[in-house]
Amino acid sequence: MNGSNPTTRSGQVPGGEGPDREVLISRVVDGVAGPSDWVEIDLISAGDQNVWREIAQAQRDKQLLDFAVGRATAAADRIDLPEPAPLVIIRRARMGAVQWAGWAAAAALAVAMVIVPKWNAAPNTNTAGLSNLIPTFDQPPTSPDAALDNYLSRGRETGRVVRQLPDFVVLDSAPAADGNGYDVIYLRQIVERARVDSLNKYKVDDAGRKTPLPVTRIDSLSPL
Amino acid sequence: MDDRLNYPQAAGSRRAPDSEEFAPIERAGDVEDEPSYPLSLTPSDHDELQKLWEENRRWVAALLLAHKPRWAEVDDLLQEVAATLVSKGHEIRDAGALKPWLRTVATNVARLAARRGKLRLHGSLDAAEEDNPTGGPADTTELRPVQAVTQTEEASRLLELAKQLPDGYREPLLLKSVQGLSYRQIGHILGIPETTVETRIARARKQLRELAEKTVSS
Repeated sequence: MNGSNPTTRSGQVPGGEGPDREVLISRVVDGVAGPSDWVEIDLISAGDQNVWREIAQAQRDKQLLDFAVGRATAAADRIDLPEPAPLVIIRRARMGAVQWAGWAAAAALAVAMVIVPKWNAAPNTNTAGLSNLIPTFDQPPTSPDAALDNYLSRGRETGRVVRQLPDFVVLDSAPAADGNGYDVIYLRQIVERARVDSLNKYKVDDAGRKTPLPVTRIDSLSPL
Repeated sequence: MDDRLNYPQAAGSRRAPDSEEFAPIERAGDVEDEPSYPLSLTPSDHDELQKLWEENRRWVAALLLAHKPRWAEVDDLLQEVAATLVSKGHEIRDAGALKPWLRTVATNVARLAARRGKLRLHGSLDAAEEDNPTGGPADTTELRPVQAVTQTEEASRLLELAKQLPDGYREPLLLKSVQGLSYRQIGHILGIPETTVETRIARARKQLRELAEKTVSS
């Protein structure tokens, strides 16, 4: 937007010659009012001094709204794109699922066996040569909350965790035995994303047995 | 998730998606185009996508703010938009089509969240939810000068009132509050002429002031 707004733009009073009052005020607030706009404002103020009060109020509103929007969207700067790698790996694994299944199972077992002792390792445990297989953690999570935060942040990075829903589903609650507050049993709801090779629905027969039925689509349910 | 989202055609097309919920408010012939150049991203061009994302994520967040349900968090929805960009962004063949595409995805994600929210179970553990409707972490800012607190509260109240404005006014108004966005850029994102953006922002500001005065007097 340049500094010389023509007076034939939209926002005109029908039959009028210039932009209407609120458009003029808005241009002033956005710092894009041109010389002809100021002439219009001068003309208006000659008959109605209230226009200056309206401009001041509009400036104030804009300042407040900019502040609120900036605050509400500040988190955007911390949201980076998730790495696409995990999905690619899964897709490749699916293509050669049969031939690599045994290897993958063995590798998973091996990595699991290495990782588990890593957290509880004795000081002299020898893991030399396997360090490139071991995820590096500055410190293992020391509490359930820290572990959960770790899972959520890693999950978001890799695309596995879509979101954590804000509501908890209360299953049970009772006054605490020591009289301090309440003990609550609840469900925490975390939405995850995964890619699978096939989809099944389950049909329950008269004997109560569940029989899988392959389908091409499962109608979505609201994740609560 | 993708099956439920009707993403717009990404291959440089400006065609509006079929679903009526994505129909632009207005699409006139004199929509201001941003300079366009061919994009040839591949799924492995993560750095290039990340760069494009960084240039656009602020206004996408503002758009989500304009459409999201009360309880949803902007950063959660933004992550969904980011995930969509990663999975489908390489289909965009024209740089000029990126912003309208992102706008459609963001609007879609916010509306889907609202639809999910209608069916969610209630049972919040958070007794302060009424004061913290986003479900996000409570503001733990320490005591601040009275003036700063007042300004923060006043700004939040004004934003809540702005969310009550009609879509056609709310979107450009909140986008204008994202630093650096011109009328022209907003017009490109929303698919409406620059002059219409200007008029709508002016009307939105007037309506917002009237709403604020009505709230104070009541």
